[in-house]
Amino acid sequence: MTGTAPNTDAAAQLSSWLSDAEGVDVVVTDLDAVSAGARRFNALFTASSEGNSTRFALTMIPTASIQLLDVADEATVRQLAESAGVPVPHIHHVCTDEAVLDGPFFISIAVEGETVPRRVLRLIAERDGLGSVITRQIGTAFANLHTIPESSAPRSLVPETGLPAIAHALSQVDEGLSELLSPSPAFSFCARWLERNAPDEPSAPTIVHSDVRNGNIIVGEDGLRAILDWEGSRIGDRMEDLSWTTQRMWRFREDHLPIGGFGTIDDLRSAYVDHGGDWDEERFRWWRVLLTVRWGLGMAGQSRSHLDGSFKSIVMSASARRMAELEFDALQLLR
Amino acid sequence: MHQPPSAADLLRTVAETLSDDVVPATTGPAQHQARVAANIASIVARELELGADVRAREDQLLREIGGAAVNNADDLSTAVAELLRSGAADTESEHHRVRALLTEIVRGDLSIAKPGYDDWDGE
Repeated sequence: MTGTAPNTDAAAQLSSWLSDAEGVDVVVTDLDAVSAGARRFNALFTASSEGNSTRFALTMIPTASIQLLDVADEATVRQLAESAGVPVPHIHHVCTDEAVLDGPFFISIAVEGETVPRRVLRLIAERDGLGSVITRQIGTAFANLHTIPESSAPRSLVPETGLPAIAHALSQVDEGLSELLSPSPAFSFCARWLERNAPDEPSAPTIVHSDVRNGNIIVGEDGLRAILDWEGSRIGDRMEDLSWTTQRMWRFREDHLPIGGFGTIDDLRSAYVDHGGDWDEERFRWWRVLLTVRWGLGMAGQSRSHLDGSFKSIVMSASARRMAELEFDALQLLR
Repeated sequence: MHQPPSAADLLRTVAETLSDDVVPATTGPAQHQARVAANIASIVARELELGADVRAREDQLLREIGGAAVNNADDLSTAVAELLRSGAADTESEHHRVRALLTEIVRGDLSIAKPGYDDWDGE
């Protein structure tokens, strides 16, 4: 069912599986696909049993696709985050049996609210102070997430290279530079700066989400309701998480509000510190540069995948032309 | 020699048709692809018109960055990239000089790929 709307079979399969799992008759209806990316399939559905109906979210990883993180490990991370006080849609079931729905999946409670960036920004624009509230809630969520010690995380969260966070990130930049089909003097300049200004490896590595941004959060008029998309989480440097939220791409041209186009770094920092987070300004800046460079190199990689035929797509074909945006941003950060 | 419209004019017409007619008439992935296709046609139109000047200016700026060390380089861009990666701009004054010149090069690329993107001052 990759990339296609779920059919009645999927609802029937889910009904049967949930009935077994819960030991009561469960009927699944209104199964609506909300997104079908290359790597995962997300849908909402209603489960009814004993007169009660509840809306749930299904996250399924198609068997044939690349899993960044095993479904069971992703569920564990989300549960650890929830226990630490991070707003996460509560997980009710995990199924690693790939035969039920063409791939392993988990089921979490459906959280109402806005996720589409321009709708998030519209909601915030209509309410004074909401952007600041949400930014502070993100800072608080990070402070809580980063209390989870490396020792309690699933082993698969340690990057395959086995390198610590800073060395791993630097090696990715050099790898990306060496794979470019045409050199980038701007990124070569940045790579040298990153190497010379690299901070010490984090003394207390933690679980990082690695992709908290406008687009991966659910918000409502009361503020932040949930942080989504934990597939990229791994062991890393806490300041990476905080830096990623400031990427210019997630601002949708609202450059005066660096956090997702709705918040300030001051709000993010003060909430993080108020809730016990150990903010490191030098490290924050270093990661902002590093993540900008890494994203730009990733754009070039997308076009290479198109060119070599491994992933043909008109969207990916032109990605390398976007690298100049990230070169510009990185150079501005190095003023 | 063919009559006008020029290749860039024709691509602009393709971009306008995609944006004004195809995008509103489609939904979902097809609509997204039409929007991307319109953007690509606009980029190529700008490249046809501005590309030669942007590349000439880039060469000039790369020579200014690399100085005598890249005088005889076969590939200027590769030579400057290697120079910078190995530390040619490590001092504070070189950092600022080279950063400003690199920014000018990137502004050239952006004038083709995404005009107006270079309005951010890093704050």
